[in-house]
Amino acid sequence: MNRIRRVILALDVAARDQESIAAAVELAARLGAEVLGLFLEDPRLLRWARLPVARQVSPWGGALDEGRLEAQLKALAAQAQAELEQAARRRGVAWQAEVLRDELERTLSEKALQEDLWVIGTAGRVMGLAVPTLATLRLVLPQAARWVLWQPRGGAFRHPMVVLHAQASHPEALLEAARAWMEHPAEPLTVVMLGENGLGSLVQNWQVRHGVLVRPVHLRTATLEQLLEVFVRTGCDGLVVGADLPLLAGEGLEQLLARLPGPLLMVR
Amino acid sequence: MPEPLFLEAHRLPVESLRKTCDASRFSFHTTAELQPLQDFFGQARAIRAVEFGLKMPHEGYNLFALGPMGVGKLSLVRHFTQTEARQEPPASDWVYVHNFLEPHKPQALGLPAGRGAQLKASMERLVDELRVAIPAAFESEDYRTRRQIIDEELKQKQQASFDALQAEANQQGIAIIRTPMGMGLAPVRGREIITPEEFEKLPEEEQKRIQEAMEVLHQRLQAVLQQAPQWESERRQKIRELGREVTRHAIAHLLSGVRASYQDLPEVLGYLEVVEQDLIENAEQFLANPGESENPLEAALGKMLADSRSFDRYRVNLLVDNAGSQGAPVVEEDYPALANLLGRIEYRAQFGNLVTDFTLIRPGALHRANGGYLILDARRVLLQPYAWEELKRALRAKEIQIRSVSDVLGLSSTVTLQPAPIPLRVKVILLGDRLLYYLLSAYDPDFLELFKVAADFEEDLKRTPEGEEAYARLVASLAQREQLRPLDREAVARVIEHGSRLAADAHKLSAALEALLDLLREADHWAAQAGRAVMTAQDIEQAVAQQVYRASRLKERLQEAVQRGTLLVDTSGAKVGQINGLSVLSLGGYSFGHPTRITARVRLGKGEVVDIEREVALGGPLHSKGVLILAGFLGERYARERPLSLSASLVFEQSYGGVEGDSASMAELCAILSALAQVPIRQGIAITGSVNQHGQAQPIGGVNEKIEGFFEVCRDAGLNGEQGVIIPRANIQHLMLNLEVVEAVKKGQFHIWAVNSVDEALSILTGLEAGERGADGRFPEGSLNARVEAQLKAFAEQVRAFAAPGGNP
Repeated sequence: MNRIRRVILALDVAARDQESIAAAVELAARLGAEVLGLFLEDPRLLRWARLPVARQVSPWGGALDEGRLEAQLKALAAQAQAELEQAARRRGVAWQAEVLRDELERTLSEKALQEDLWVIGTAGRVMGLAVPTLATLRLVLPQAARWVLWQPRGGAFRHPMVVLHAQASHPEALLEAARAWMEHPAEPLTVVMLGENGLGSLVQNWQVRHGVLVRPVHLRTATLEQLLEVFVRTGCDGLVVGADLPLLAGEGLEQLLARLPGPLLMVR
Repeated sequence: MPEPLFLEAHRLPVESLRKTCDASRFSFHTTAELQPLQDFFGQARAIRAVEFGLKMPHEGYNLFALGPMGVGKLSLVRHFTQTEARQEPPASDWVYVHNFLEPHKPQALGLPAGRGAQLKASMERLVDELRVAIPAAFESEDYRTRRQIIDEELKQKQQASFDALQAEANQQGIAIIRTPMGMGLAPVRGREIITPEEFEKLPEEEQKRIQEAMEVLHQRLQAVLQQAPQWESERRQKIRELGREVTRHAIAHLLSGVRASYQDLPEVLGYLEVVEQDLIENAEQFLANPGESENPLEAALGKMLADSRSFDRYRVNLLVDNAGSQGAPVVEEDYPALANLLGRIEYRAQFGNLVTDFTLIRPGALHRANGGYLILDARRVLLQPYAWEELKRALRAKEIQIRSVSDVLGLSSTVTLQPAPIPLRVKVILLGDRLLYYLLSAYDPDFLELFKVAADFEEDLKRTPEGEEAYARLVASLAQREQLRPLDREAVARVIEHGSRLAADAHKLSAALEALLDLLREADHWAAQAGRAVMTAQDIEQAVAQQVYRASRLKERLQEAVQRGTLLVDTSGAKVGQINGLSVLSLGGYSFGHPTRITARVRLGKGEVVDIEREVALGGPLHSKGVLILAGFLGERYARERPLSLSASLVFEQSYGGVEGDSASMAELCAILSALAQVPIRQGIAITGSVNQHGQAQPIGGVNEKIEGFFEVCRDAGLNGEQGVIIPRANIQHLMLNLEVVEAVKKGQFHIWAVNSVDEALSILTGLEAGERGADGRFPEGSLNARVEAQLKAFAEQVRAFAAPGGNP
């Protein structure tokens, strides 16, 4: 975590995502990084506007055409930029802003560096309102990003819960990331270990090496419901998972985001 | 040379020139043995008036203490007022508090003495406690949970509506999407929006179905979105209600603690009730953190306001604090400007603007004296713009309304505070001189209605043996009060004699305590210089002499001018139509007499006496009156049967300033008669006194100064035993001449003559008998009056000759 030099904030038509902006700036200030705001224009929206049946419900009227939608998107991007600038200035954080339109997935992957922390609030939820579809998520989720923070809540979380599984490619990276987010290093770190494996000894060694107190939770097999129950019961306020967590496969990520009462840090 | 008979007949004996005080009649050795004087000697009338005025509870019975400066008006009034006030209960405390309904009209609350400070402290403590208690209540788990529940309810309600709509849309292959300005409906296939090209390829029926379904969903989505503001409004209302409830709960025990102390004061309880309502409605001010503003100026301003102003409206401005008072207040306002009487509203500069609030209301003397007594100097009140009018208005209205000069003039048009008037119950005591009292009585119709009691102070006291005893005790009291050395009895005797001199009357004593006190202080100083433990007669005499010396530079310059012949005054020889008159100059509190040469010239005329001073507007009206009286006298005595064919001119030689008063009229008459009779007047004699149309001498003022003034001129020129002063006989009682003059008279070097008429004066001045008309209606041959009459008759004859046809004498 200490190598992070840039916090990238993904924004889209839900540009009044002040919680995400505040969280990104807060994180950048904390990490000594700069903030890059990326305003993503979903090309499908423009296509939708060309549909003869497309209609909008808006206080400003229902009429819609592609040109008008483009103008609205520009205005929204400018507004998002202004809000980011304001927040960054207040905290004395360096910032940049860009608007991305075409071939979003490819552009995002190109932009994503290992040292970046991605912050994704309500962006990508164009479709289906609160519950993002996988297809839309893909539009904002850079495949190359190492750290992605979903649905931040203003400031950073302080009591993380780490989920490890037997196939985890970098379990120690997860533990390191969680440790970096802890408010009080002396407090125990909640670690959920899934399946029968040697994770216990790995965690023990890591614990001894770093002098961190671990509160282990062993689950043989875990469903999303079980995981969420442990999360609530332990009083944690942020979840740290690997991108390769099987539970996230398919529509798992969007279901987790829909039900998790806190931010999610995804580590590759 | 004059006949000794005239001179002897009117010469005054030495004893009548100065009424000395015999120290041996006092039984004490020094004033240290005397009991201080408890009452105010000689002011019985004023005392009874003050006592009466102070005790009269009715409206308008305010007092005006009138009398000259320095007679002890303030001391007496202060003494009796304080005595009266001590017997009365302490006055109420008064506070101004914020008016929550009309903020620009601060509310006044009256509380029993001492409770105002208590309320102020209670409210300050309350605010301090609220600053902790309210944020704590809003940060409590209970509040946060309940607020979360409200938020969740809304979210769930919104979510449920959207979910139901979404589910219905999904069933029909339609998705709800977010657009930059709202929501939209899009036909989907799988999980992707159908592209326009794909849509075109759909069968027409499918297209129509989608279109109809979207139309219905569009209507429903619109309905859901339109409901959102209402739900949000409900949420805010619920949060407000929750906030009120939490605040009410948080402040209840704190306020009840304050209320418990004021159960007997319904007004205060009413105020606390309003405070509670305001706190409940505005609890967020205790939570806000304005320092977080992005704009540095706003942040600084916000912080400043948060630190110092936000809670001011719960403060108490303690206007009048009578805590610990023993009795009703007695207030003396030395500078009775409008703002110092009625109070004022101050302003503070804030970012280039002047702002104010009820905490900046300041009390005036009327506030402090409310329920008691206010002592003011009438002249100072009248000199301050609008102070007198507003004082009367307050007394009439029986309330104190704070008004600035610009308010009174109607110049102020900016929004400012209008503090609620405070009921007024005060007795005002004005101090002033008599002229002011009589002018106000004559010209101010409100005055006698509002100041019904006049306490008229005596300026002098009777000099009887008892009076002298009392005066001695007064001297002892003043010396003790001022911590001066005691006086021995000879010193007291000198002080009494000086008291008579100040009163300008041998049978009176001056009541000017300030002048007396000055004399004692200065004598004490000289006693200290001489190393004496007790003030002696020598110290008193030195104090008097030094006072005179310090003030007599001008007098000495005048005397020097006479000596050097610049000012022409003869003190020997005899001249026709020329006489020494005497005048008094009062400069800087010091008066001295000085001779002035008066000359008269006569000629044929129409019976008028020309007063040259009057002709050139240097003579005052009294002087002119005196001169006109002369014409009346001349006509009545010498020209009953023929025209007064005289033209006389009179002048004060070398007089370059104004002349006022008629005290020179006898001198002027003597000069005219001398000129008419062509009989010379002795220049070693000066004369003072006015005269009426019958030729009778009338008393004048400043007799002592005049005699002493002429004596000093004669002394400098050389006393020859023939010099002296003629005074009206009625002035004998006023003689308190200094010891030097008395000594000179005793040695026969100087003389004082007292006369009843101008004839007696002329006899002394000319050595000729004036003469009275005999049975034949003629004056004795050779008498002065016969000579005058003969001259006037000659004038009349000449006039008749001129008037005859072709007449030429």
